[in-house]
Amino acid sequence: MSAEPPSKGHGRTGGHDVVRPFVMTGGRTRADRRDLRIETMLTAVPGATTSGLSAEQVKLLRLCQAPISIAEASAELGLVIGVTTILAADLVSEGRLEVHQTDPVEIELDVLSRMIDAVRAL
Amino acid sequence: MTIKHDDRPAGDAWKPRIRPVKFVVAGGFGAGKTTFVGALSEIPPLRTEAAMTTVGARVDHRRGSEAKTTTTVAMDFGRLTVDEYLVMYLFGTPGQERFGFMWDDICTHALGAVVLVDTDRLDQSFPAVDYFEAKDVPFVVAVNRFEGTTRHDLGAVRDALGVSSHVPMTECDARHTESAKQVLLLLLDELVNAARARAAATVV
Ligand SMILES: Nc1nc2c(ncn2[C@@H]2O[C@H](COP(=O)(O)OP(=O)(O)OP(=O)(O)O)[C@@H](O)[C@H]2O)c(=O)[nH]1
Ligand SMILES: [Mg+2]
Repeated sequence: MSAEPPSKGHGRTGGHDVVRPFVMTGGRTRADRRDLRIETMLTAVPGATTSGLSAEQVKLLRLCQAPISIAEASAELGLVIGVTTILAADLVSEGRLEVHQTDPVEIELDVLSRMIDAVRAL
Repeated sequence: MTIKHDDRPAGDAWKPRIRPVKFVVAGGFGAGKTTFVGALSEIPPLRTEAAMTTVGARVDHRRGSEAKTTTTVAMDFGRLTVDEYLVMYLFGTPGQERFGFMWDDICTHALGAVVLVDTDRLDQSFPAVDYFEAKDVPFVVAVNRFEGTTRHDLGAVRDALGVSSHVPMTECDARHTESAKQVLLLLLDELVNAARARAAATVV
């Protein structure tokens, strides 16, 4: 990583901060959990504390008081997907966040029916 | 890595699983992806960005490394809340070809996909069709009707795209919720058929 201090506005495109995030993640550019995808939902584990967390992780944990997807959390925090994923992965391994997702091969007919009803009702 | 859902501590009241389900809306540049997502989403489409590191042609000899540039690529997505536990997300793929490397990130674990086709730029739909066929992602093809474009019959579009006969195909106007709904329902029907077939196959 460059020794230059990250200056605000540097490397920003479309409101998303491109350079600073890699400082936030300690230089990592990929999460080591492959189960965290854009649609994966996160919820804060009841009683999870914010001790020792970075400001961004605290914000993420707060957002996860209600179920929220990684994509929505990224849009909310103004961070690129990859950075949100890395921040989330740390919170998951520390037991502060719970992961929710759906494997397409195990989707049940009743879940599909509920979706069909919801789309028809639009 | 698998996530266990059923190892809740004893005494914890049983609750239904929280289930996000993902659908992908693909198609060429300007095919109507964002419009389609917006027609179905309960919120105005949100925009999120993924970072992309490109290795520059110039090599930085001083630091002994290649010069890297980080840029971002935007994707739009919408949300349809079925109930407290079930949420449908619709993700539009970035239209530009050079973001093809991101497709796996966007499409892994997608329940199904919609390929939007602009008949004036049929060739732009090939990558999406090829991708979903290769990855066995169930998909439907929706031909968007743009004013002033030549009308093609669906059979001709199917032949031109080389889409197998079992893939459902329809016309749509992505600007209208009712029309976009029919496309999504066509895809959901397809998923019901696939789920039934799977259930039948597991009954010995
Ligand atoms: N007539 C007609 N116009 C449409 C339809 N769908 C989209 N449009 C228009 O086509 C233009 C492009 O639509 P977008 O939804 O931005 O297309 P996109 O696929 O998201 O484009 P990129 O993200 O740039 O690749 C907009 O002006 C839309 O209003 C359609 O079904 N019929
Ligand atoms: Mg778009």
